[in-house]
Amino acid sequence: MKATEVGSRDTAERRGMSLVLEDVTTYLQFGRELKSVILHVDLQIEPAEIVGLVGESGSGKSMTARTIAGVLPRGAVTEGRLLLGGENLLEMPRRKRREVQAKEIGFVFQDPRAYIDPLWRVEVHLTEAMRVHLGLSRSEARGRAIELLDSVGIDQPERRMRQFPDELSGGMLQRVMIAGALAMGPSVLLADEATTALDVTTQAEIVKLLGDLSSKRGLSVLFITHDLALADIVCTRVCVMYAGRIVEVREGRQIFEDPIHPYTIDLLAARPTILHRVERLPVIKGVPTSAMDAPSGCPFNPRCRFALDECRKATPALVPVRGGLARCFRAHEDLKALSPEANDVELSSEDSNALEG
Amino acid sequence: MLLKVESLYKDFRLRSGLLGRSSRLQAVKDISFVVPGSGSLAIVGETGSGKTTVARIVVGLEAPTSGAVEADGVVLSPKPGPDERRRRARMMQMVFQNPVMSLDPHQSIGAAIREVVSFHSLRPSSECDARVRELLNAVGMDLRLTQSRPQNLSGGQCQRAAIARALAAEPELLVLDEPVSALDVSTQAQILNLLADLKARLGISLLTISHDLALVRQLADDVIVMCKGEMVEAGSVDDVLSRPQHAYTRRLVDAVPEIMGRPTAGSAPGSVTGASHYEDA
Repeated sequence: MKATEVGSRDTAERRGMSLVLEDVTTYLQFGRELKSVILHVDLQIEPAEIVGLVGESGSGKSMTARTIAGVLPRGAVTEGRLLLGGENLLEMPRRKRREVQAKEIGFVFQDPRAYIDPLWRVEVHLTEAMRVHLGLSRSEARGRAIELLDSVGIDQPERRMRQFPDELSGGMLQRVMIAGALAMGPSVLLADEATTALDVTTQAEIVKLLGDLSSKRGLSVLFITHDLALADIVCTRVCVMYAGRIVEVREGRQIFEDPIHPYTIDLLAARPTILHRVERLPVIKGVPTSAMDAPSGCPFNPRCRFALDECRKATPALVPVRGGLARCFRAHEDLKALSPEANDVELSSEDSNALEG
Repeated sequence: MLLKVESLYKDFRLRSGLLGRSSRLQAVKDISFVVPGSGSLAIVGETGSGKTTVARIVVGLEAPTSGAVEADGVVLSPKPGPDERRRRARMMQMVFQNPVMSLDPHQSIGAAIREVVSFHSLRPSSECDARVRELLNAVGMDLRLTQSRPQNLSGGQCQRAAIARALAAEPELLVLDEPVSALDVSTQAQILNLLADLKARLGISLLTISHDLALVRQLADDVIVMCKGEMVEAGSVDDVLSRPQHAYTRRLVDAVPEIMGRPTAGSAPGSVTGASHYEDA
């Protein structure tokens, strides 16, 4: 098949590079102030590995991806080490770093329609970068683009090349975006909620495609999602983020079966499940916070039902627990065994009587 | 209130190009269902299945091409005029997917709710403020947020406010279009519990439109599955989700990550036997 040919040729061309983040902190500029949006992030993705980054709004998962790709707002500052194939991108001269990031890091976003020019045919979208950065001729770039479309499972690639984004379904367009992200032959693919806007059946197809691409091309994939169940089946390792920090790291299928951090435990319990109805969903009180609004001590402490005094005073470190890592002072206790509390507001009968008018 | 929907059809006219050879899109084809008083029905389906169009026809935002919507045996006008609208609003209220966008950014939460109470003359104006507080209490909202505007609130708080505003009309049916899909996971549970409470304590019936099968399991008693405008399967949530009969429903269920991840999932697709699709926990 054509698709495998393209895949194997590309793998042979490239060595496959690991991506390592060491103690990475990113600050954004607000007026004259710098405020951290991600703090002390450690992350490692090997070639052909898919690592999940799970979190709610404000957790910093997208900022982590944007830090890696170097697409942060003006005035942003990143500290720590960002290693691609052993080389620290943050120490490179700006121009060189931009070049490496443009070539080696592909980015796929949640809503393809927000990132693709509606007036560009698929062909223009796919070939522009190859012509500018790789210096390919129009026909060379066109040939590569057709191969790419084929490799992401798009039938009749020649016909699709002539179409405009509004002529394609959401799933098809996301495949085009993935093809575009692969155009430069990157070693890293960042998928930021890449399947969230899609129907479940389309999501299943895209997720399978990412898995195939990762293993065939030796891509290091960062799979960002808010859906723990999805991350659990897609990823070899899952990192849970809260308020800009990684609070738990688990291998394989452990996160579902044996969550360690109180946040992960309660987040899993709060999800409705297709398997059965529960009398009342256990609720995490309050709302998610970002790193900027995080309280002192452990950022989860105001919402945590296991919080102790020390959780309000000091920030816990990421420590090894049961084959994973967790950022919690009580990580070594079996917190999951303690019964969930109902934290939500219930209607008092007085309120509901009043409501009846 | 008993809501009855009978063989609903909706065609949209599509025009392509300048001179416009128009073609017809059949968005809804022969949809019938009943939501009993205090009942909870969900319509599931993927993008373009026509599920939202059905909801919009039920509340009168869209006129059906043919078919009828009945409340307690009375046929509702397909194109309600102002008076009919006002009456319809007391029967049923719709809650939309994106709570921040469905509330007026120029209006405080309190004013948005008060407007509904006074529009329907449900309270003398001296009692309106007290009523607003009652409604905010009922949805578990902090009264200090009464003067806040939607853009300054979290998504979950906005959705609570939108539900309080819908309840202000004292409706007998809430039509919910993807009520939690714009919210964070930890906030979704709060809203789902609230909706279950309202149903149990006030006897309100729920018609939920969603693509999220886990939400449907938690919130609905019965479900209909729509695909390309047609109803392909209907029944109790238990039957349809645990033992899907139609190939399309099976595809939907199998694509849910929780099911995809189950070691037994691989054996189930393809078999059209009546055997249990997956074990009930």
